[in-house]
Parts: sequence; C-alpha cells; structure tokens
Amino acid sequence: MREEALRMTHVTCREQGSTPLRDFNLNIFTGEIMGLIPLNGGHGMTVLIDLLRQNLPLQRGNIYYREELINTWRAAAPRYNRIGVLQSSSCLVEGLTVADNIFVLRPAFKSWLIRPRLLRQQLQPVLDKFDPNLSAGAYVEDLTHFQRFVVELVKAVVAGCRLIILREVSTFISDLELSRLHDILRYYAGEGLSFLYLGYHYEELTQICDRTALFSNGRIVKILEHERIGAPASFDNIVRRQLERHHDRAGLPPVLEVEELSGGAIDKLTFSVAPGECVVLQDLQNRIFRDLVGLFMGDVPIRAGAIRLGGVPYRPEQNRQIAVIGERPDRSMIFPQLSYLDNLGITLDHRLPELWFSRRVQWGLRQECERKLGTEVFDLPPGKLLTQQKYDLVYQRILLQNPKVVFCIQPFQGADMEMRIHIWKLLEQIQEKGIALVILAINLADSLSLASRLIRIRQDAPPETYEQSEFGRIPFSAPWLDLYRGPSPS
Amino acid sequence: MEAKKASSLRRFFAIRGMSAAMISFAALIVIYIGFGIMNPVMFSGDNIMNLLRAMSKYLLIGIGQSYILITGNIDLSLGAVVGMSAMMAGTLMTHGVNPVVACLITLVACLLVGVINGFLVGQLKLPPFIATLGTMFAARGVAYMVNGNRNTDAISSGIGKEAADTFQNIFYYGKTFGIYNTFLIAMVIFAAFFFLLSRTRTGRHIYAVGSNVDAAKLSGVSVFGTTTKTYLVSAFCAFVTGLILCAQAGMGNMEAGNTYEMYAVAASVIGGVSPLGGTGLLLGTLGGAAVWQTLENGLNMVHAPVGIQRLAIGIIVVFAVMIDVVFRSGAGKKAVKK
Repeated sequence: MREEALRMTHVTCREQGSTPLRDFNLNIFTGEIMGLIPLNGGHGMTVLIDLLRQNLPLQRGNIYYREELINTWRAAAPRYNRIGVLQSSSCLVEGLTVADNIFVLRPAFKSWLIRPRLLRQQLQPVLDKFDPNLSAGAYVEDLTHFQRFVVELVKAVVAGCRLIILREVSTFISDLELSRLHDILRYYAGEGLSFLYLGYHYEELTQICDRTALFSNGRIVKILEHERIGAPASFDNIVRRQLERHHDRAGLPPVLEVEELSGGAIDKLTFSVAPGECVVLQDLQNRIFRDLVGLFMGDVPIRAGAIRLGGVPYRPEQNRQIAVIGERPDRSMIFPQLSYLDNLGITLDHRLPELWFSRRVQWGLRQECERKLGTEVFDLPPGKLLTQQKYDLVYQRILLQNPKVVFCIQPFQGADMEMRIHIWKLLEQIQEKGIALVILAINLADSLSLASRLIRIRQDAPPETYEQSEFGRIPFSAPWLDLYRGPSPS
Repeated sequence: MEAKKASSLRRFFAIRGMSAAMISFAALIVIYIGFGIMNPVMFSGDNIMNLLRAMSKYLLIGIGQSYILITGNIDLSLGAVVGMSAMMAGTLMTHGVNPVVACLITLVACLLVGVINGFLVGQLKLPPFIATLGTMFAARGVAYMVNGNRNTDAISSGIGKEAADTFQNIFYYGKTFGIYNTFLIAMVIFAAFFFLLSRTRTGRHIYAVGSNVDAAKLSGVSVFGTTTKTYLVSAFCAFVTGLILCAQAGMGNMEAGNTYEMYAVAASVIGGVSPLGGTGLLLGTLGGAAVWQTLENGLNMVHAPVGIQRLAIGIIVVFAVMIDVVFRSGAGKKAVKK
C-alpha cells in the first residue's frame, strides 16, 4: 500500500466570518506531485497554505501529515509543520549567502561557531546538480528568480520537509526555467518527496502533475488522474476570435518604434507595435522588465538607441501617451486612500485640466462611467472593492487616459479562470480602442492568445521574434499552441 | 428632505480625513468650554484674539508638515528653517536692508532648503528622517552663523523705528478689521494651500504618492516633482513663521523655531493627518493647531505647570496616532473579510 504524505479529511476552516475551506478532502501520496487548480478565486489557497504550515484551528475534520495526526477539530494544536512553501514572497533573508540561508537559518542548526567554507563545500555539489551557475556563497539578492526557487527548494529539503507547496511559480520564471524546475521536482519526487503544485493553467499542471484536483467554493470538486485535461470550449472560442481579429489590424503603420534600445539591463532591443496590435515581450530571465518600464518612465537613462512614438522621438515627460499596468493591478495600481472617482481620474488631468476643481466635470465623469462600472462602486472605498471591480477600475482609468501605447506587466498573474476571461475582455477593449498593447511576460500563459507577435528576450543572445503565423513552430509548450498548430481558424 | 440631508451628511463624512478633522474640532469645543468653565477669561474677546494669533504659528508649520506627512515623508528641518528665516530677516534688517528685499532674500534661502530636501528625498531616495535631520542641523547652523553666533540687535536699529514698526505690525502686532494680521496671513495661506491640496492636480498627486507611490509612478506622476513641491510648501510656511517670530520679538533669535517641527507633527496628527501617508485634510490641521493652542492657553489660564502642558499634549498625540493606526488596521481587516 502506498504511503500517504498528506491526508485532509472533511476539513472545514473559518476565517474572519467566511469559510474558505468547506468539507475539504485531499490526499497526496509519497513521491507524488499533486496539482490543484482554483476555479473561482485564490483566497482559499492562502488559507490552505497557512493551515498546513501553522495548524490553524479547524471547525471540522482532521489533517494527517506523514500518517500522523497533526491537526484536528477536537483540539487546536498551533505549531509550525515542516512543510515548505515556494511562492512569490521569498522566505530567504537578503544580505546573507545561500549557504547561510540553507544551513544556518534553520531550527536544527545548533552550532555556535559557523564555518562558512565547510558549509559551502557541502552545499555546492547539490547546487551544481541543479544549476551550475548557482554558487553557495552568492548573496540572496543577487539570485535570479529561478535560482531563488532552487535555493528555497533545497532549503526545504535540508530542513526536513517531506511536502512542499509550490504556488504559481510559472508567473516568475520563464518556460525554459520552468521545465528545468520540473526536472528538479521529478528528481525529488523520485527521492520520496511530495509536492502540492498550485496553479491556474491546465496546460502547465498537466505537464508535471500526477493527479490534478479542481478546487471550487472551498472544496475539491473533481480529481483528474493521468488524463489530459482539455480547456473549456469558451476559452478556445476566445482564442479563435482573437486570431480572426488579428487579420483586421494587419498593415497599420506602427505607433511605437523601439530601435536598438539599450539602457539598464536591456541591450539593443528592437520592436514596433501598431495601433490595436499586441506584442508580447517574453523575458526569459526575468531581468529586464523593471528597466524597460524605467526607460519609458524616464527613470533609467537611455544608453543607446531610439524610441519613436507616433513618428516623433519620445520624451518621458509626455508620459500620458504611454500607460503602464503593473503586476496584480488590484494591489499595485490602486490608491486605497483616494476615492473611487479620484482613482479613476488620476491620469485624466491632461484631457480634463479642470477635473479637480470643477464639480460639474467630476459629476460628468461619474455619469459617464456609472453606465459601465455601476453606481455603487463610486461610494465604496477602493480597498473594499471586489478584485474584479478593482481590475475594472484600473483598466477603465487607462481607457479614459487614452494613451497611444499600454504596457501591461504579467496581466494574468494570480487570476483564476473566471478572472482570466475577464482580463482578456479588458485587454480586448484596449485593443478595440486602437491602443497598442505591449504585454511583458515571463511565462507566456494566456498572453500568446492576444499576441500578434512574440519577442523572446534573453541576455547575451539576440532576441527571437515570431509573427503570429509562426507561433505554430515555437519550440516549447505553451497554452493554445495547439490552435496555432492546428488548421487555420478561418 | 430628511433623506437628502442624511445623504449629504454621509457624503460629507465620506471625504477621507473629514471624520478625524471633525473629531479634532469637537475636541476643541470640549476643551475650550471646559477651560472656560474653570476660568471665564477664556471666553473674553481679547483672549480669543490672542488665541487666534498664537495659534497661527502652529497652523502655518502644521500646514507645511501636513503636506509632507500626506506624501508619507517627514520634515525635521522645519523648525530650523523657521529659525534661519527669523535670523536672516533680522540680520538683513539690522544691516539696513529694506524689509521687502530682506524678506525676498530670506524666502529664496528657505526655498533652497526645500529644494535640497526634495532632491535628497525624492531624487536620491534618502530616508526623509535622515535627510531632513541633516538639513535641520545645516539650517540651524546657518541661523547661528548669519550674525556671528549671536542674536541680532533690534531691527529698528537698522531700518529705523518707522519701518520696523510697520514690519512688526504687518506680521504680528497690527490688526485689520479688528483681527490680528498674523491670523489673517495664516488664514490666507491656509486657504491657498487648502485649495492647492483639494482642488488641483498637484494636490491629487500628493495624495497619490502618499497612498501608493509605485502606482503613482506607473500612472505617470513625477514622484520627485511632487515630493519637492511639498518640501517647498513646508519651507515657505517655515519662512512666514520665521518672519512672524522676528516681528514678535523685533529681532532675530538663533533659537527661534526650536522643536517647532515636532509641534507641526503634533498639530497635523491631532487633526487627523496620517503619519503613514495618503490621508488627511488641512481642515484637520487647522483643528489640530487650534486644539494645541487652546490646551496651552487653557492650562496657562488654570496655572498648570509647563510639565503638565507637555504631558497633556504628548498623550493627545499618541492617542491621535493610535486612532489612526487602529482605524487603518480595522479598515484593512474589514476589507479582507469582505
């Protein structure tokens, strides 16, 4: 009989009045990689992680870890379990080396005297197996995202974790790195470690997971074993529609032209984008986005090359012509202390200079937007809006601003199925308005479906450009590639 | 009709920071009446006028500090710039420089400190506490050096009694329509900066930077420009306060404005300006400055020792910050719950 790493039976957990986990059942075998896809919202995921790590009190049910009861509804036993978590927020301490983080910062390390050389010698062979460029003496802040994941993984293994949770790792590392990470996971799974792999993309999870559970409204609604999960027809339809629309926009002169642009970590980047067109820039090492946005915002000086907007040289001062939507805009692009209307109009002053001292203009703006966004949102503090309402607010702000180009950083990051379709529609609205769209992505996820062109950028190598007609020959697995490889959508 | 009234009242209190501002005014009324019952001289016309005049200094520095706090920064150099303003203006006038020219030169010097603060915090990203601590010492050093490490003589010795009287009347002793000019000057500045903060693009950018600096940056707001503007406002307010102190004493005092930066923080925080940034109304700062001065005035009236005054102010400041922090965390929890 197969040994179980984790068993959760009829677990019900309440948090601040809501019930994010309700009659939740899940078991993970030793050496298994279990996938978990949230179908409607990721809030339950956070509670699930906290519950497994910290033994939150249960209303019902039991949790067994390595066949030992660690938490039960009968009696709360708050303590930290040896379960590792790899997610966007790092558990590594900056300013210390990799070896210090792995060996010294763990409860079992009792030695008073630290011998850095010995620690490095012990660790380096392990790291070399996964990434030859990863040094045990490197400082944490100098690591790439992939290296950070590797270090956190090794740290969890060294700390004695037999179950490791990975949450949305694909949004921080590129496809190539993801495939390397998968190899490492398989290696450790072979060693008897178990993994709970949380993600929103079917395609990604089916590549790595032995079984995949679908999570909805606080419980597991289905477990898919060893079968290829197909995306819902509605997704395919959206992608197909995108492909058809692309042809209507072909042949327009470019609105933004970037030629041999160098600055910060960017070296000789060239691309152009036409009104209503979408270009996806895939950063294979997650190094250039900050600098690219900085170049357009005027924070990073241009070393060489040129940017032309609407045929004339671009100056960062005219930055209302270019808009940026940051990662997770529901968090990064909201001003929680300003009102909804203030949030909506904060980038509108170039079009309505009298906005802030004319109540009539403010009222007009509100009337115009109420039809689309609803009435009640205007009376709510932005912090109390639902996630979808926050997305609507940010995208509506951009539509009102009416820039020529929008840079969108990882637009689908952290979004569940429902939200992804909604973001799709919002991005479509931007394109429909004739605004050029530049998506900055680390992992392609759903971005490819909107793209007219894909540019893959890596350091020390020329960028690879693929037109939409060439997507079918992209040499890696990505969502929707089957559609491009299949018969023509028309 | 009733529903309409309730709705407009709700809208009024829905303005961010309005509740805190109104609480400070309510506290003001309670304190004022309380001290008035203990000593009815509090209610006399003369006392009210004096109270308004004395409050003006706190209001002015409070306005400056509020602008800074709303962006999530702090200005520790404010008090030193007040001293520098008083000393520079006093020294120039004792050397016979026309008061208008002396004020203009002083204004330029004060604004320069504002620009330096803005550059250090906005451009070089130094922690505002450290950056303005440095400029605080520098500005106080200038205040000491400008007249050779001693207070100035009476300004009348340089510009003559008539000009000195005019200067002192404009900034401190004179009245217009029965109200001290000091208070009128403070109210004009208050109105101008209130308008700037609540009705202009710059004002919205100040709130935006304090609320979410990254989002502000991505939205095309110049964080450096906005930060510098707030430090310029602070320097301007310190300049005017320095002139008021110079006019009050009729001379420049090297220690003028000492610890005023802390009074400014207190006035702002009591009025509901959040030290965490993004929230606050100048109306609240007006209430905070009034509470501060009324407390000071009232405790004097009942012959309370200075120590008690400081203790009372300290407790109120901590209480005001506590309300802000508790309110914010409570609001955050509620949002998550929803």
